[in-house]
Amino acid sequence: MENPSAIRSDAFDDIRRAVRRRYGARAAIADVTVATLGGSNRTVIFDLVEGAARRRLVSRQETYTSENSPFLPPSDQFKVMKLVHANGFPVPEPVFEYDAADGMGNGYVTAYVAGDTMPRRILSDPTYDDVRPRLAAQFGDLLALLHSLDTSAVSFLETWPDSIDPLEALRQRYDSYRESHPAIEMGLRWLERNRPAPPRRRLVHGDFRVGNFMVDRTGVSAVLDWECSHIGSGMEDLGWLCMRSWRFGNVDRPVGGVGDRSALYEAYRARAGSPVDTDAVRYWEIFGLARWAVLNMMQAYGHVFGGRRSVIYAACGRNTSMIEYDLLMTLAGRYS
Amino acid sequence: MRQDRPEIDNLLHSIQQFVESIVPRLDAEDRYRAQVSAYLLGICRRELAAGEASTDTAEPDALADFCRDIRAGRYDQRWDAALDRAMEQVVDKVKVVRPEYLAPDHREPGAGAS
Repeated sequence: MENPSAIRSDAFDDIRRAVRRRYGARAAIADVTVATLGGSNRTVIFDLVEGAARRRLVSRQETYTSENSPFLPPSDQFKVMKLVHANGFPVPEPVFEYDAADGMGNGYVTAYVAGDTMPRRILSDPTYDDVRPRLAAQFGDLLALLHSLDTSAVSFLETWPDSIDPLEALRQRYDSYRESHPAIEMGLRWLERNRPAPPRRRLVHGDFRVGNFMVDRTGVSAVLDWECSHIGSGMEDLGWLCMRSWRFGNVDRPVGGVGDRSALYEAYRARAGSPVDTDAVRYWEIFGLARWAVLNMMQAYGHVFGGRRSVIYAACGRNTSMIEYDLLMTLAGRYS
Repeated sequence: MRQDRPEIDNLLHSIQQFVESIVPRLDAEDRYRAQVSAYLLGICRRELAAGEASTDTAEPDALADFCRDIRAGRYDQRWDAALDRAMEQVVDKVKVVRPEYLAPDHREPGAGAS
């Protein structure tokens, strides 16, 4: 006698089973869409149906891990998201983590937050014309909130190389690819010789930029992608946000291609209670350019040697040169 | 050069034009990959056209020595000279990848279009 459920081959049976383990045998999933396939994550969006109640959720599973990965494992990301969510920071609500009994590897489920992440639309779509002028200030306010949080609940982050010394972590990652890049060496040397004073240690998002914000007509509805979070100088986040690469062509609007530094810094100061160290922001912008160049080298290395083949990763390797150009132009004082 | 037409640049350009032409028919994920593929074909064409005449490919040992010297601090007092030399190598790379990305004074005279 055939088992009826074995006849129907359903690509989302694993998620359905995980949901039923937690919400009971009558819980169902509906309106399932796959957000991304390939890369290092399987992201599936679905409605959790419990009787008359429906709730839209997002499932994220790690499908690839590398030994040399700079990214936090999903369970650590989940802990960071729980901390920030509990403190009123806009992040998709963490709902549950997959465990060994689910047989789905590492991953978690969060609430679905509506909005747009596409830089092109955030920068130029008329839908966001009203909110766009307010974004830089909102970014500043959010970062000051993030950096004010008590990090004891995520003290495990302190052992992460980026928490111990981000410059040394960057140098080691760059060295692991065994290539000779004078531009990156110039960046590393400058960064070594101009280290800021040791900062008050904050929870740092690590990839706080346009592209990782869910934006709606009211502003930032959620900050995504916590896999780079660590403990360090809050100015790292401001530097990364203002980096030339994240202006998406609007090079004279330093804050994410949408706003001015004064709006960002003033909003940050207003919530943090102390002014932004603008020299430190410049330091971390230069760091950010060196880091982004090395991350593109990493993608190319994975494509050539690591079996993660994709035209996108191949392009990353060649795009490294443009980031190096921005790095040298910034060191030379021609770009700011 | 091979005897039979078309030349290699023509082969690559033909593929590039075909890929660009099918972009509107593709779904979002494939469309992006197709655009990136056309972009990579442009890089291939420019790299072939540049040939061996660039500081980027010349003398890997000199490049490694330069890097070691920078790291050891031997250019700390000659910083601008090091910046100029590093810039020369990077500009050569960017000319092959996306020449219009360069500031006007770094571009080839008459260049700037892809």
